[in-house]
Formats: sequence, structure tokens, C-alpha cells
Amino acid sequence: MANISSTYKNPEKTFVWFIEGDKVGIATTEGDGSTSNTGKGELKAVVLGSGNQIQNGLLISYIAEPDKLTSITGTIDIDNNLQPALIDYVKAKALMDAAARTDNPNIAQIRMASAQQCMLNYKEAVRRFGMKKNDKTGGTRAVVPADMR
Amino acid sequence: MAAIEFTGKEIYSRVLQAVPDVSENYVLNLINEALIDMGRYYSKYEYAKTDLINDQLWYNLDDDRAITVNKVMRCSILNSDGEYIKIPRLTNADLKITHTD
Repeated sequence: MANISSTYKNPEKTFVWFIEGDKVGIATTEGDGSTSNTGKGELKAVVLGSGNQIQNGLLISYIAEPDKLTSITGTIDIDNNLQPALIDYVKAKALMDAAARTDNPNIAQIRMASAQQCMLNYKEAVRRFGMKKNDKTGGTRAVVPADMR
Repeated sequence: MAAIEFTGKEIYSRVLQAVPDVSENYVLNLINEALIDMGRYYSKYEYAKTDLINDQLWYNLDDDRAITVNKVMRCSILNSDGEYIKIPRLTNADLKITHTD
């Protein structure tokens, strides 16, 4: 592959992106693909000349998955304000498994009740309020009550 | 630097209080399960650059890539002035030409 410089002056007018399954498609109306359906003005894959590429020509902004924890001594890749939720999740699952293992129905019931409380805390922290708690720059700063007069 | 930086050990010690007989490896697996679940809600915004290749329409976002993308927010193309310019999203994905590679 040969690296070439970008010659696109206004890509915002000639490029589009879209998602299909687990792929992102990048199409452009620039360049001539030399067929009736890939001429200038038709949306098609980028035309840079055979074997050419623009190095780092595409920048993707995305929501990422936290990194996998590979060792018990490793640091967890989430924001500190979500750590209590993580503890709740792990405790809930551990208590559920422990409840399933025990022969004593009373202990099983106590563990299941604790597990459900932990899972409830987790769901509230992450699913209901996670974005609001985690949003450091955006979000509502003040609520203006409606004028009821 | 944060007041507390949690490691797997801290989570493990907390879990031991509730369930005394669990192993470190079991808790490690549960932490990773939790991270996958939290990834669906928690917004960890990141950026990645890749090469724009001649005649290539598709750029893979599989889970086995160096980066794990949960949701693409924006795409930008390098222009002739060396700036990354945001490009619009084609919502109906209606292209005449079909690419299979």
C-alpha cells in the first residue's frame, strides 16, 4: 500500500457514513470509479488509485467497552463513581450462586434477598442514573420551575 | 489522581464479606461480566484513527479488533489541510453499488 496525501477539500459535502451490522461504511461522491454507476456524483467506496491509501484518513468517535480485567490486582477501567455499582453487581451474582449451592433453605432465602437488594442497587446506579451521575460536563445544572400564575 | 483507585482485590475483599468461600478467579470472571453489562450503559467516549483505503467500503467493528466499539457516534475524514472534518450519517444506507468484501 502506498500512502498518499488527502486531496479532499470539503469532505463534509461529499462523504457519508452508515452502519450495517458490525461494519461502518464510508462512501463518497468524489472521484471517478470509471463505470456508469460509480462516476463522479455517485456514492461509492473511496477512489484513490489502485494500491493507495490515506494514512489515518478516517477518525471514528465511539462509545467503547471498558477494558477486560486480566488480573485480580489490575485497576478496573471504569469511572470511580461507578465502582459501588460494580461491587453491587459482583456481590449480587456471588450471593445468587451461593444461595443455589446451599442445602439450608433459610440461608438460601437470606442470600437471595441480599442478592436482589444488590442487583436493585446496581440497576438503579447504572441503568437509571448512570449517565446522569457519570456526566461530568453536560446535563442539567438547574431546574427552572414553571410559572403557575 | 483519584482518591481511590479500585483494583480487583478491593472488589474481592468486599465480596468475601458477603460470600466467604469464593475464589479470586470466580470474582475476576464476575467483574468482567459486570464490565460488559455496564459497557451497554456507561459512556466511555474514545477516538480511533484508521487508514482510508482505495475501493474499500466497509471498515470492521468486530469485537476481536484492537478497539471494542459499542456505538459509533461520529466519523470524520482528513481533508487537504490536515483537519478532520465531520461527515454526515446516511440514515437509509441506500447505495447502488453492493460491496461484499
